Amino acid sequence: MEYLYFLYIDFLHKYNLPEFIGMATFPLLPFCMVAAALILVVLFLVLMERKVLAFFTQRKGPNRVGPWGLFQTIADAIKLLCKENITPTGAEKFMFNLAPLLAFVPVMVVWGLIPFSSEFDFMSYSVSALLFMTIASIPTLGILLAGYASNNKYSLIGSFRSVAQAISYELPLVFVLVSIVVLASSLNLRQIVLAQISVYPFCGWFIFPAFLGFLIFFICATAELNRCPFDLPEAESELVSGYNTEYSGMKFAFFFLAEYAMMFIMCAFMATLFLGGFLSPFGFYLSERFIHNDLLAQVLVYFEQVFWLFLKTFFLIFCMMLVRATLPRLKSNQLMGFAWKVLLPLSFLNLFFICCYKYFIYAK
Amino acid sequence: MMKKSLKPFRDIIALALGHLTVFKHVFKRPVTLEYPEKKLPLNDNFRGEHALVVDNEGKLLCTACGTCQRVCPSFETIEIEKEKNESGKFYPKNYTIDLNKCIFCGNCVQYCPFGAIIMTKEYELADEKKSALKLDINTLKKNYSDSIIKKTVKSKR
Amino acid sequence: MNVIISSIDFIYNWARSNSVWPLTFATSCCGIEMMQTSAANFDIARFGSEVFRATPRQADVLICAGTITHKMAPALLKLYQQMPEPKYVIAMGACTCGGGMFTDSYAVVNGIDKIIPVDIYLPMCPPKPEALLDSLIKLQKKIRKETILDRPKYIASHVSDLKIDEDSEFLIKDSGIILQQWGVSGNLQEGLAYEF
Repeated sequence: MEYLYFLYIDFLHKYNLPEFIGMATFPLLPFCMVAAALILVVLFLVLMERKVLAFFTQRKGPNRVGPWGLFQTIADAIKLLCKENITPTGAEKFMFNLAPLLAFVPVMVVWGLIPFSSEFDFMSYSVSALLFMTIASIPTLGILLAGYASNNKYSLIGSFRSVAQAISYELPLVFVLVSIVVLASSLNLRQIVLAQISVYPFCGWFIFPAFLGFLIFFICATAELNRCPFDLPEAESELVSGYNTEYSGMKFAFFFLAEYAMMFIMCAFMATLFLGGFLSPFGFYLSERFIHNDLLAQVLVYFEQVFWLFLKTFFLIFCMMLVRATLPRLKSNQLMGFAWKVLLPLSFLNLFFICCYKYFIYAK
Repeated sequence: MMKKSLKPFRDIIALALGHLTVFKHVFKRPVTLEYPEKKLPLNDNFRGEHALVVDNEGKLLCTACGTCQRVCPSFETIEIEKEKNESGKFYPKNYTIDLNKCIFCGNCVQYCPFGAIIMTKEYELADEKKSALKLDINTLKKNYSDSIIKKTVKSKR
Repeated sequence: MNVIISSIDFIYNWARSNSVWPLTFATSCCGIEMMQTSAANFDIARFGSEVFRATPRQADVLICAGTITHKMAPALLKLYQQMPEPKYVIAMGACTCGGGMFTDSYAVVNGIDKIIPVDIYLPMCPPKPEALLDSLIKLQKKIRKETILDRPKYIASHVSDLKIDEDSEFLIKDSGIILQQWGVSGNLQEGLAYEF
């Protein structure tokens, strides 16, 4: 990091800029990079979702805008920015405008907590797993606010459903997280990843002892993200469009962005907890093995770690899309019953099993 | 009792099979037709835009008898201005079909005693102006010659 | 200056014409053809329009697929007014273009252009899915012809002269006279917003 800082200062000196500008702006740089990366990822993710869903139904998906439809989401984004911004007369104006930001900003913050490589993460705390769960539940507040401020019955019902769903599914989610923390003996996400290193390739990943936990986590994450089959808050056939019924143009784009960004981050989190995060599935890094220049290999290892994390994340996202393409929407009572009667006891069972595993096998 | 205890497992197997079935479709080729470039072949009895049949001498076969008007299920869709020519035969001075009201049932074609009206295979009829969808006699004649050039209908006599 | 405007126009029109999100508004049988258009064989997603929004706030084009009755007319107008600019309307099917085979019916509006301004008329009963795709392409061509300088004119032309009365939900004209009334039995009483 210090090396990068000096590079940056040198770069500024070339253009005769004083050093204090560098000192002031250097901490902001990672955040700008993170934000830009996140938006790029989301633009790609929306296109990927549309393409993959098209392939599941033997369609072709967007293919008219640019090569292979690559610019489709860019066209969508520009169009949404150009659209008229409507604020309904009966709405609470301040809260109505605040809600999309409240849904979007925590996502940006949470994104920085993911360890992308063994050296490089934007925020690393000893309790970052806990922090992740706390901040990741703030967008629900934005959704609640959106429903309340829109002065629309469908929005209100949609946001109620979303909050009820978030509260019920957060419990099993956290219990599974606890089991992972028990396994890794740390709340730091990077430590959790490093605890998954083993002698044999990918045998140390926590998905093997905690497979039940992985399934529970996957289901709960799908519910947290309001995706199919848990998309009751946006159920189009009954609730028009749920909490974002009254939102148009840019504010809707913020909700849209937040939803997809959260999907990516949740999957990255899942990959970090269960699939060994940035670890290579071969047990060694390809660049270490095949590139004999030491300095270059050291730098490339970091990029490779980011690559592995993204690969695992996109695999999980693909699984989520598969679930979306397959299952129909649940009923409201089924949704709640499933969380409290099935997932919560199973997550206790998982925790118990993991504790036994840790005490009798893993510790020795 | 045994069956009930096995139900969750059967459910899980069913869910997995469902996902597998959907997943198989990724490897199948898309069935999509790239529409503006490729078009589906139309059925022989497809009913598209109307056309008035013109014979080799450039005369309409239509005698303005009004049968098409009478069999038309829509209200005031076909309007005919009747007129006599020098030899005492009736001919349509103006013949309009309002596509805004037409339901393309093909009754007018079927009931025409002279085979004077046919239906071409044109179906891309969208237009920005409503008035353009009111086909007058010249448009209907042009439709006939166009569709003969495109060979979508067989030339009569 | 011209160069700047034309380049802005290009981006603006390119973006809008390539992401036309339709509103789910299928009032009768043409809706089946609309579903078929978004299904695998004709795949409206190729044009970036598979995002059928349920709420008018996020839609760009109102594909009016099906007969509009007098009872439905206020709802149609309300949906149109709730859509944010720039908005477009495709009248799909003969019923929406000019009444179709229900022209002489007491209950059907003879063409939705009596209620809202229409951009593309698509006759036939019902149109083939290809025809709907063709109308979408024609709409895209129409969007590409617009310039940003014409916006005020465009907005002025896209305002309906009818209004919905807040208390009774009847269609009224700007002068405030109630033009459409429904009795308790559902029978149409005197005075219509549009002739039939």
